[in-house]
Amino acid sequence: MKKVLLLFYVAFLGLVSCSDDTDPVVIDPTVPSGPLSIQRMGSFVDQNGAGSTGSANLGVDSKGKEFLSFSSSFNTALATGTVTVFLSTSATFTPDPANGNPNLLALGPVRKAGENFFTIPTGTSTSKYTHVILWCGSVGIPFGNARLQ
Amino acid sequence: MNQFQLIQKSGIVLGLLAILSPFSIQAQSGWTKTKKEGFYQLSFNRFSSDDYFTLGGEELKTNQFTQNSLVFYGEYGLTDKLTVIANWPLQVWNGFSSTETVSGLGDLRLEFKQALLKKYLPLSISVAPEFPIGKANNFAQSKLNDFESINLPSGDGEFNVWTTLATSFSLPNAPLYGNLFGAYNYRTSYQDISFTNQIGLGVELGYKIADLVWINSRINALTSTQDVPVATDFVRGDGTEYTSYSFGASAPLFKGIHLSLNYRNYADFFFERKNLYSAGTLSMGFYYERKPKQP
Repeated sequence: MKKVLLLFYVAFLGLVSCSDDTDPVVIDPTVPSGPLSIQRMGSFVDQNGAGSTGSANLGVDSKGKEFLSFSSSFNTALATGTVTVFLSTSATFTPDPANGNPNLLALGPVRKAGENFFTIPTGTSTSKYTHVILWCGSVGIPFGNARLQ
Repeated sequence: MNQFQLIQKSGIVLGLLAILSPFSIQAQSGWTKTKKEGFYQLSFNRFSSDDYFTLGGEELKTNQFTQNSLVFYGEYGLTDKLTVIANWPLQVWNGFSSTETVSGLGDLRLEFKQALLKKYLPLSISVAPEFPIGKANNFAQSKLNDFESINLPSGDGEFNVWTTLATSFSLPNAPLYGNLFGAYNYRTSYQDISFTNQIGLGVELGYKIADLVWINSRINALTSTQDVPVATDFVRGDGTEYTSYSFGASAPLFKGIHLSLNYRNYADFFFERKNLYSAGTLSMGFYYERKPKQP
């Protein structure tokens, strides 16, 4: 019996050692898989002298996942700290915390100029949102908005 | 004439998120101290506002911004014609109603004032380098969520030099004096971001009531030498412009120690408010004047 177990063990080691190790494929859920198929886009209009430039694009990747992307020419007043990106039903930031902010969808902070990607939460419909808003929450003022069309 | 230089106060100028060009030009005069004469003041300043003026001059309502500061100001006569002046915010506290309050040391401004004329028309020129030893980055965490923060530095991070020409007068038979000055601020850069140079102007009148209490009134104005249409760095006062007015009073307390009070606010008389939080600043301070014994 011991010989049989030893034989199995040696065979197992042989199988393991002979298998080809391949690098694991890491999927980053924060960036699109393949190029985005752009459905709507808009250019940023600067507000309050924040220097907001570039464009925002709403689209789906090759796996059907929806993203908001900023073009490589994107910039805004990032030195102040955090600027948060929202989808909005209008160009005006209209919070309604008591009702769960139905006219806003927070996508997260933007901390660098140039290309940025924001994942649209699974199961969320973006059809009602018409604008992207760059919102400086600490001060409570917009830095810019882009109308998606 | 040095008795006329009573109230020296540090006003605070706020650019977008504060500080911006944090500390404003002083009440400049044409007088210098005599040798070994000194003036030392510690003051506390409080400012709170939700009225922000953009680089384009538009007025915005924002979350409430509050700044408190503890400032040391001192003058010392190195010679009868050369005075050294230090203006140093020892601690600056900044915060929005939506954030925590952060604090730090401010930038040190060291001024060397040389008398050009002393007797009939007091006239001085001064050069004041400002050393960026304050906290150039000081992030305040949002109270609203855990991913937002805002940079509220207590120093602007850049080296700059104020050059000021000032003249003064006093009446021989009345306790009345006046100051007039013009100044140029050569600004440099912070982390490859260059700042626009500035021009400052100011006028002051002071009068002594009942041979006891000095009162004064000032108008100061600041403008940029170039238009700043887009903020390269909001929080460091680039493009800040204003006209301010202030009223002050000081009275002796005990053995050379005086109490001083000051109120300062902003308007659009000469230069419109730009990149600035606008509201009244209240200041209270104590100063001590040391005069050398006459031989």
